[in-house]
Amino acid sequence: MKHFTLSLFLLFCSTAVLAQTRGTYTINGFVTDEATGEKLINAYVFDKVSQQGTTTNAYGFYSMTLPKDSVALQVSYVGYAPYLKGSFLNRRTVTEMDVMLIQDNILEEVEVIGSISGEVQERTQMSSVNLDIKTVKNLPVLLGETDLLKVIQLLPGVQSGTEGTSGFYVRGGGPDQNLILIDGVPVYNVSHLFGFFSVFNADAINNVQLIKGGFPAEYGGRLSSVLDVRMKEGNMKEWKAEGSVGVISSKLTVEGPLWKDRTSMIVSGRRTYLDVLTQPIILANNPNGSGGYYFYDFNAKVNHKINRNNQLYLSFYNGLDEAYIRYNDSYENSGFRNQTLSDNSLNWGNRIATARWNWIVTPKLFSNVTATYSRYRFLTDLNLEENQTDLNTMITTNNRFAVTYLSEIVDKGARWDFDYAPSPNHAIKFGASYTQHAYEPGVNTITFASGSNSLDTNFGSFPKVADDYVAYFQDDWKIGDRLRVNMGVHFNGFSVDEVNYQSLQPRLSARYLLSEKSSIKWSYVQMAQYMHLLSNQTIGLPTDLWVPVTENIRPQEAWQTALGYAHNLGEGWELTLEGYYKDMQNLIEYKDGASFLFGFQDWQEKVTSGRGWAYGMEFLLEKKSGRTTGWLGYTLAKTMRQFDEINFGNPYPYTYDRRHDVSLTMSHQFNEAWSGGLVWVYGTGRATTLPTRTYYARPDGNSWEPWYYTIDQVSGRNNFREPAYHRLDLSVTHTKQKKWGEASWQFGVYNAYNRINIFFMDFGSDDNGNRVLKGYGLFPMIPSVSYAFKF
Amino acid sequence: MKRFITLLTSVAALALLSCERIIPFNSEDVDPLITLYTTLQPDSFVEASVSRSVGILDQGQPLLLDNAQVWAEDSNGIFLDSLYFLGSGKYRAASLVGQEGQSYQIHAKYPNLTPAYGRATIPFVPAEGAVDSIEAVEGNLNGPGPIALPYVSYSFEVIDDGRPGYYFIEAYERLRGTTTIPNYALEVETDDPYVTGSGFGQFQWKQRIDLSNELFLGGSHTLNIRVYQWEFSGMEILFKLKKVDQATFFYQRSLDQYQRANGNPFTQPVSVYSNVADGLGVVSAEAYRWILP
Repeated sequence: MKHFTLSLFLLFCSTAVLAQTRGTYTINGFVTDEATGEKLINAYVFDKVSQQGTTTNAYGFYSMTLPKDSVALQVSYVGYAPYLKGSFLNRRTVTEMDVMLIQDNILEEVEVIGSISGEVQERTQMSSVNLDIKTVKNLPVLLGETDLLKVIQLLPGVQSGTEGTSGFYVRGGGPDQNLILIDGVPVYNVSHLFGFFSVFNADAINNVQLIKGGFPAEYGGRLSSVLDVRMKEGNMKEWKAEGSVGVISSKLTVEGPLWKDRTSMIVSGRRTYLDVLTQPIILANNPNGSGGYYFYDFNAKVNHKINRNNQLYLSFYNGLDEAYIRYNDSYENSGFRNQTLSDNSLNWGNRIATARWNWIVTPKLFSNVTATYSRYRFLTDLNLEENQTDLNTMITTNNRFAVTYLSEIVDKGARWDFDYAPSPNHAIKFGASYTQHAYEPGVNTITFASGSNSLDTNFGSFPKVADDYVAYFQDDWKIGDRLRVNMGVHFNGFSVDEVNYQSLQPRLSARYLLSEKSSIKWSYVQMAQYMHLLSNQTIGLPTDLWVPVTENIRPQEAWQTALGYAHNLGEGWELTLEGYYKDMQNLIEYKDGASFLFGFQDWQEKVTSGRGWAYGMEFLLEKKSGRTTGWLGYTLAKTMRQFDEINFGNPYPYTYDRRHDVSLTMSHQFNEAWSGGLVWVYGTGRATTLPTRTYYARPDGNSWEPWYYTIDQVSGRNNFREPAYHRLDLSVTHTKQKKWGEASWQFGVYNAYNRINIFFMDFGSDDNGNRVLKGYGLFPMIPSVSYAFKF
Repeated sequence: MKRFITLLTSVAALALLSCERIIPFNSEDVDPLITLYTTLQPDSFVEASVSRSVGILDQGQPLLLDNAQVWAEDSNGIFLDSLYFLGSGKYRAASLVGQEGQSYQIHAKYPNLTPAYGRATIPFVPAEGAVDSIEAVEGNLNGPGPIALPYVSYSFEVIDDGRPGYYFIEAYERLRGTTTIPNYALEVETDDPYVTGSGFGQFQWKQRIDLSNELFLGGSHTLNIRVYQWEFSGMEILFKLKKVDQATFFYQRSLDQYQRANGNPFTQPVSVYSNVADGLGVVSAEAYRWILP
């Protein structure tokens, strides 16, 4: 397989080098928002004359090499009026065709020009969804908080975790198998408030793409999905601000030109005020204590255009969650003053910084150089101090005890990517990157001091540093009028503790046009992942540990194949139908009985490796334009796991094996002032491990006494299926134009028919004293209100 | 303002607390089953313990079963002997004694319960390999194992009969010169790479070393064992080398894990092994030898 892959790689290289450029014409340009200058990513650019099409890259740039001397350029992007312009081309010079799109007027139906809005059947890329950020903002949400990941969970093939949480599971994969990128930088934990909200501030987001299969060669390092989130660059034309005030948090975004049409900036912040609200209650109950919880996000970006061919970006993100309890009490007794001080906190968060340079090297060659820094940290800090003062002698004795638990991963890296359009039939991407990962996967520190005795010790897992290097190449190759093939290879090497792993991963996808409006697609990919996430499924704390592969714990590997059908139904309607099969190897899981917290063992001794497999069928019917937009998605899927040391080697259903998953979303614009949203979801219940009987253990062979140890029988891992999950959310928004800008009130209700969806289960008693299994829901029907403004 | 916030929070808490519902169980998942335990040994009467499970929602404890029908068959299903009731859920064969290398099926039947059965093959008594002491070490704060405990190192040879299975090695002490069979096992430890896994949770030290013969099937393997004991003088160490079947190994290991994990919310759930068809419990077999170094 490796030889075949290498041969394919060399064939592509030679194809690219030998690509004919004679008799061709090159156009390139940026696609931007006319009002703000914001680059539009994945905008569809199509030439009606040659019937060639492409999409803008992550920086809004496109380049096409065309066979004819005239072009009729159509550019489309969801939420914008289509653009059409014709021009004659000169072979000797490159024609720069920058395009500015205007946001569409939603009071009138958008006129569809040909297949312009139906590029789903044109694209080679399958198993992917481009989310319109306006859709994310218009759908009803939990407690009035717009959340990107909650919307992602509504897509077919994507399962949500426990009630209300942000974790997502794609085509049977685990939560660690999703590559989540913010401006190209991987983020390790995207949850606030124990998973109920994500770190993404929708006001600062430009573009979101989710890829579930058929991964392009530029992506790697995770098995199951890529969520590529691109943040806004800042308004190049004028200063703007928008914000909102909600039940849980408030946010503010300010953007504008530092130098009109040359340098822009955007700053966005969000903070919750749960701690402020709860502080009086805590103080009322305990004047000596304080406690609370808060989270915040801060995004900042500066974008400078040196000239048309060179652009610089600097971006920064910092987010934190902290829960804390502090206590300070003193009293006098028997001639002593006793003081107890306690300071306990739990905090976790991400910090990301990037510097980027875009360079149009030649009209056909675009390059991007990026330097990145990313840190995720989870820290538990428990401190207790006791002081006792003899009131006669005024001598104080002091005892201190502190425990910290730290889990951290720090990435530093650089990458260089190229987009190259050598000929009408080839669109090539290639590049390389290096990242240094520094892991501290669960280090416990105990400090104790009492009189002359002291202890200061570390135990648990030890820090590791890993080198991660990548090279990739892919060619999107048009073969004839109907067939388009994307062939690529992704090479990844990973080195840690004198252990080296390497993988050469083929990436293949193809699209065959059945007609102007429909196509069939196929893909085959191999993926490798060099880090694991140890996740305890019994409690809901963010205690997940990111650990690297080692000599004993091998990389996760997967291959996936998918077959699909895409149809543009016209009038903004699109239909896709896909079937897939995925096989995963070297997955890791905590062994039965393993303790994940405050353990004396290295993490490698607590885990075991095994395999998983998943298959299913996904249906998606979308309406992308007009007064009413939304989608209906259905997934029929099965996913299993098998570990030799778990469940006695027998296969068992994965926790998030949901046989059926349905989602219906709708946004409707009634008129200029009023709009509404609806979400209905249904999913088969999670698989969980639950005892069903109690029985005696084997008696002690020498004892005749009827004393026996009892066992709660668990017939197998994930032997019990929770009740199905379903929920209806509704919202209505009133927008009013003010002299200073625009104000909106959104009224929503989460879980409109008050379904008790299970968050956790426990045994208890009913009103008659009978023992029953009780399921507890987290969110009943919850109304919400939020106020948003723009100026 | 304080009262308003308190009221608002109380209402919210009340709303959340009322979010509960009763989840039904399938009756077939919780109906009582016969629990059957048998440990077959060579040259020992065939015995069984029979009880009845209770559903997880039922009140009360499992029940020992009096006067169940319990009998033994050979591997072809031919009746061998009935087991008569001794009391406290225990049953013993009138005359049937286990034989090395023989397979047996043990059946149990009780009114209104689904009959259950299990099968096992008795291993051969393990051969006696060379067991020699290497050194005795005084209590050592920086040494291996339980802090400051003295220990004796032994080289322990296991000679395998070529039949797949597992070895349990236990160490006991008794007064030198006596012939009593001790009841309690000492803590033992080894760094041998063939030893199946290490401790789980937080505890490394065990009173048994488990060894699979997969890597030295039909051959022999010598491992260094540390036996921890408080007193040296006047006592002698003797080893119990057991050859056990897979059912014994799986059951014992899973039970150890279950007992360590039970009640701890920070551990993964543990399923205790069972090989009784249509019931619960374990029908297993072992053969052992005492070895005096």
